[in-house]
Amino acid sequence: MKSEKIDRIINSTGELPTLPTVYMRLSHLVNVPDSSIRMISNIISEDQAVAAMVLKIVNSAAYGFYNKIGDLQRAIVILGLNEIKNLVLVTSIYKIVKQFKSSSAFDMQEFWKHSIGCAILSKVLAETAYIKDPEDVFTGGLLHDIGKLIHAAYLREEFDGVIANVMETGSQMSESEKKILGFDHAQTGSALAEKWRLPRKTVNMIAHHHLSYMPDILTEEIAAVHIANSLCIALRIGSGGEKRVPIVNQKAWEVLDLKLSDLEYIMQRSTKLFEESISIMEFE
Amino acid sequence: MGILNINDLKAGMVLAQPAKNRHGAVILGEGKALTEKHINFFKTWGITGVDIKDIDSNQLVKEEMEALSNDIVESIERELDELFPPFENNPVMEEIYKIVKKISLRQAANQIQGATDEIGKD
Repeated sequence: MKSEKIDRIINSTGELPTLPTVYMRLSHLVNVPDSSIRMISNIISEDQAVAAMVLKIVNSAAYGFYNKIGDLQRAIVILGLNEIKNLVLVTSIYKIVKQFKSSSAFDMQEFWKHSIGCAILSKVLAETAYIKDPEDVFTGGLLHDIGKLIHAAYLREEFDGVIANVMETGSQMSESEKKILGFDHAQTGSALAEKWRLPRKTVNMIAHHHLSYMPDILTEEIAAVHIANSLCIALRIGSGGEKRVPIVNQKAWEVLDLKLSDLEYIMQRSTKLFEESISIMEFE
Repeated sequence: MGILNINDLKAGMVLAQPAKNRHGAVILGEGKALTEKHINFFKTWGITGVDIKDIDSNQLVKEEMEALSNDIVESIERELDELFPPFENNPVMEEIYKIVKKISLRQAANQIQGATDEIGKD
């Protein structure tokens, strides 16, 4: 299924954004049973921008701690490793998004809001549905559209054509991409995630979030990101360039085993969390 | 009766069905009148909605719509028809549409309220 063109973009060395080594080393450490808080804190401290952002986020209203948290080790104890790992990822992706000054019709600030909104909705859905690792689902939500970033940066003119086509026809962006580029952002995004050596689970959430065809196994994680994307567009939180809300796949809904009456709570809680988080992560 | 979202509950409303947590344990029995304390308790227990007597959630939306002019309601409906592709027999999409409409109406009502308050100040 993978087109040669995707391979070429993804493997064009030097140009492509890389995940900071801090995140890679942290991911590795999370799986080491005897890693100490001090080791983790040392790794994060190596990137001062990341360390500062982690503290800023931990001290934001979203977490609601009464006392100011001044040092990283305490932040790690309070939040837990997985959440810290996610904060580092959010900071890293933020840096990458900001770095791309897209001259195209694609609005990076709106894209960032859509990514954060979808990440939060994914996590809240996962928590409400009692999925095992809501933090992992957050990661999938954050990165689900990362392929669009690559398209906006490296296929500028063609991607402008895609955006115009979506606005004209109201079709889903992945459909327009397949028509104009020959592949869609789910393919490019999952290829990038593979290159970044992210876990298979994350790659799958990115690859299948449209559910335009059924994957071999429809996991709860994929279902949550799929639904979160539709909710995010319906709530008009940011924009990834879509004109219309993608129809929620009924099977995905059944996999999560939620009640329809849970939806309003999920949407309201996520909107509130989004508003609290985005103010500290706004573009300058 | 109708399922009401936790955020729409008010003291004095009467349960049409027992309020249960996710594991099916009854938190408060049928026929009980809610107090503020109950509502906060539901929130801590992760209850997202309960069944209330003599009310339905559509009724609340209707009441909110009455407070707004036809023009505003129509323009919100037009916007949402642009945003949502046709969906048939998809209860999840129907529910999402209903919630987004409710939020949009509420925002419009708040904006008008805010503007009226501003004028009142002068």
